[in-house]
Amino acid sequence: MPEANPHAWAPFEPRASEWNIALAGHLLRRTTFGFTAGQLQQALADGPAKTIDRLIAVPPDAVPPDYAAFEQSVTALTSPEASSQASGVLWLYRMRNTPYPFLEKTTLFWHDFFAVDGSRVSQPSLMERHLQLLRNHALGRFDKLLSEVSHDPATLSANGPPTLLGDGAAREAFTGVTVLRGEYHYQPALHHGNLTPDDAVRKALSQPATAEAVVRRVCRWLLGAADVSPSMAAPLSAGFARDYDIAKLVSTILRSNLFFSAEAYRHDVKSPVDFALNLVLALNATVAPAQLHAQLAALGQSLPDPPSRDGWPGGRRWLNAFTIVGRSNLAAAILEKVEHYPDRQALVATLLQNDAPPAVLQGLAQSDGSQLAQAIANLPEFQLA
Amino acid sequence: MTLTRRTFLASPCFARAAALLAAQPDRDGAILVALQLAGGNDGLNTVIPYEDDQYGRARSTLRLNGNQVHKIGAGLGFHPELGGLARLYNEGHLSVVQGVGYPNMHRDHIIGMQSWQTASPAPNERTGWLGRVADRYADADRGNVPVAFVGRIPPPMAVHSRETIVPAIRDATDWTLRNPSGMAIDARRADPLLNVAAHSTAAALASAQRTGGVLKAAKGLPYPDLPLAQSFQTVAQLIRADLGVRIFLVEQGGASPGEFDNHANQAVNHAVSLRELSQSVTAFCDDLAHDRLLDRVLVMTFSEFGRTLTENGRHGTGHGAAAPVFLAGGRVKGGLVGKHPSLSDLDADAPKPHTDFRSVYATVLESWLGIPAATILGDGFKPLDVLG
Repeated sequence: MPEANPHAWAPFEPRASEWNIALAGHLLRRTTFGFTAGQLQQALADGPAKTIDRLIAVPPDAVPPDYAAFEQSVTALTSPEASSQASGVLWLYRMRNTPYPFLEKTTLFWHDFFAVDGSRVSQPSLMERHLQLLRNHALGRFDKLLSEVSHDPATLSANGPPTLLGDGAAREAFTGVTVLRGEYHYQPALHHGNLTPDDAVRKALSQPATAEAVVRRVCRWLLGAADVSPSMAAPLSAGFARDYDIAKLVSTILRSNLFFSAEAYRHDVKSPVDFALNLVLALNATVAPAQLHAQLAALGQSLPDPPSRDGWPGGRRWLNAFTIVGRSNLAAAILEKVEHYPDRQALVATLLQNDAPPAVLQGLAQSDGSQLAQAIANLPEFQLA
Repeated sequence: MTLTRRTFLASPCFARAAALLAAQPDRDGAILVALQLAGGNDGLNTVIPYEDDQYGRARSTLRLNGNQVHKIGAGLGFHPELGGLARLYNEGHLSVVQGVGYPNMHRDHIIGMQSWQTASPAPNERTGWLGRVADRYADADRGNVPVAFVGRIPPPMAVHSRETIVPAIRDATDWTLRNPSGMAIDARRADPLLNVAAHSTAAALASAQRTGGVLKAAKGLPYPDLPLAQSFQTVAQLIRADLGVRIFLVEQGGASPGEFDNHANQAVNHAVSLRELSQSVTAFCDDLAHDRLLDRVLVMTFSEFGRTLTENGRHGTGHGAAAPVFLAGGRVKGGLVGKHPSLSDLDADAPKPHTDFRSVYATVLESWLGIPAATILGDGFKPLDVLG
C-alpha cells in the first residue's frame, strides 16, 4: 500500500469522464453481494457520493420481504443440533433478498471480526440472537457493539464451556484477545485482578491499540487484501478512537481516493458467498438457501462458523485446485436456475465490468447466455472482488 | 521410502512442486489415509484376548472363543468378521499397535473424539492435527491441496484448519468440471494476485481433467456396496489422478455419538460395523496392490476410546479407554506392536493405555510423510518403529 499519498483519505471527486463502469462496479462489488445491469447503470448515473449515501442509509427495522415466512419454514424443518446451520441458511436468504446489502455485508464483517463459531454455541436461538446483535450495531457505535458482544450468551458459549474455562475467564479472554489481538501482550493489566466484563471493555476502549486494530481490519476488508500501514491508518484511528462511529469510518474509507485507486481495484479475492451471490443477484437466479449453504461450506465458508479467532483467512487462501473446481460447478448449478439472460454486452459489463485481456474478451464474444456466464465465472478475473 | 523423498516432503519445495500438477505428477509420494471410527470401538472384541479368563468371565454373552476368532498368535485373535484384515495381517500388510490412548482419557464422545482430532491438550483448540498439516503445506500462491476429507458428513474436526480450505469430497466427480468453458491451462496474468487466481485455475483444470480421465478409464478392482468402501474407492480414484493430496481422512460411523457406540445388543451391531471396516480396507488395499500403488499408501484407524471390559445388563459395553490402532499398507512391518493391555490392572473397568496416540501420529507424520512431528503435535512424541 502507498505510504506517501497525503490525499489518500481525501474524498474522491472524479470528473464526469473519470467515473466509469469499472469504478462503479468496484464500489458495488465491495459494498453489495451482487448487482443487476440496472443497478450498475444507476450507480453510473448517480456518481460515487450519492451511491455511497444510499448504501449506508439503513432504516432501523430493515427486514427483507417475506423473511418471517421463510424463517418459520427453516425453523420448522431444522433439528436443534443443526442450529448454527439454520442461522446460516436464514442469513443467506437475507443476503439474497435484502434491500440493504451493505448492512448485511457489514454484519458479515463483524461476524468475521468477533469470529464467534456458531458450531460451538450451545443453544439453537443464541446464534440467531448474536447475528441480530451484530446487525443492530453494524453501522452504529463500536463501543456499544463491543459491550453487547462481551455480554452476549453466544460469545460466552462459543468461547468454551464454563466447566473448562470458568465464566469470568471466558469473558476476560474474549474481551482481551478479541479486541486487541496482537496487541494483547502489551496490556498486562488485563491479566490481573478480577475484571468485570464492563471493566475489560472500558479498558480495551481506552487503549489506542483498539481503535488501530479495528481501523486496520476495516481497511483490509474494504480496500482489499493488502494491508494499510499503521502510519497510513493513523488519521482514521485517531478519529475513530474519539467517537467509535462505524458509519463515519466506513463512509470516509469508501469515499476516499485510496478506495478508488489502482491499489484497491480488484485487489481482493471474492469469498464463496460473494462469488455465488454475484451470479445469483446479477441474473436473478432462483436459489434454495439450504442447498447453497452446503455448497458454500464445501468451498470453505460455512456460515456462521468461522474457523478460528481470526475469522476466515480470506484473500488468496480462498483459492486452490479444488475450490476453483467447486466454484465453477457451483456456477453451473446456479446458471441452471436462470430464466432470462441479458444480451452479451450487458452480461460482460455486469458480471465482469469488461475486465479481461483483449484476447479473452474476444473469446467471450463467441458465446452468449449461460455459456457466456459460465465462461466469465471461470475466469481468474471473476474470482477477484 | 527413501531418505530423499522424506527430505523433499519436509522441504518448502514440496508444496510448490506438488502444485505443479500438470507438469510433474509426483508418482512416488507417500500417502496417508486416516480412518475415523466414531462411537468408541470395542478394542477387546476387535483384537480378542480369547485365552484370558478375565475376558471370558466379564463378557458372558459377548465373549468370542478360540474357535470363532482368526488367530494371530500370542493368545489373540481378530473378530470373526475381520477375515480380510486377518489375511492382510498374514501377508505382512497390517500392524496392530496395542494399548493406544493418553493419560486420563476422556470418556465423553465429543471431548474424547476432539482429543484425538485436535491432538492438543488445549480445551479450546479449533484446529485439527490434519488441518494443521494443511496449513503448513498449502501454498496459497500455487493452490495445492495437501489434505482432503472424503465422506458424507460435515468435515470432522481433524481436518479443521486455520488458513486453508480442506476439500470435503463426496465422490470423485466433485473434482471434475461440469463446464470448463473459458478456462485455460496456460492462463497467465501480469498482476500478482490475478496471477494467483490464474495459477489456481490452471491447476484446477489440470486436476479435473486427470480425475475425469481416471473415472473414464474405470480401472481398479470392484468395491463392495458399503458407504466406507465407496469412500475408499473415491480415495483410490483420487490417488490415481495424482492430485498432490498427501493425506485423506475417511470415516465410518457418522457424527457423534457414532455407530461403534454399542451400549446394547453389541454382538450383532459390532459385527456389522467390523464387516464393513474389514471389507472396505481390504478392497482398498487389494485394489492398490493390483496397480502397484500399495507401497505408497498407509491406512491408520482411530476411535475416541475403547470400551469397558465388563458386559452390561443390555448385552453392550460402556465407554472405556485404551484400544488398538490398525496400520495397513505396503510398507508396514506387520505384526503386533506392544503388549495387549493387562485385564487385571484396569482403570474403572477399562484397559489402560501404554502407548500415546500422538506417538502413532508422530510415526505417520515423521517416518511416513517426512513431516517433522513436533511442528504439528508439539514436542515429546517419538515415532514408533513400525514401518519397513
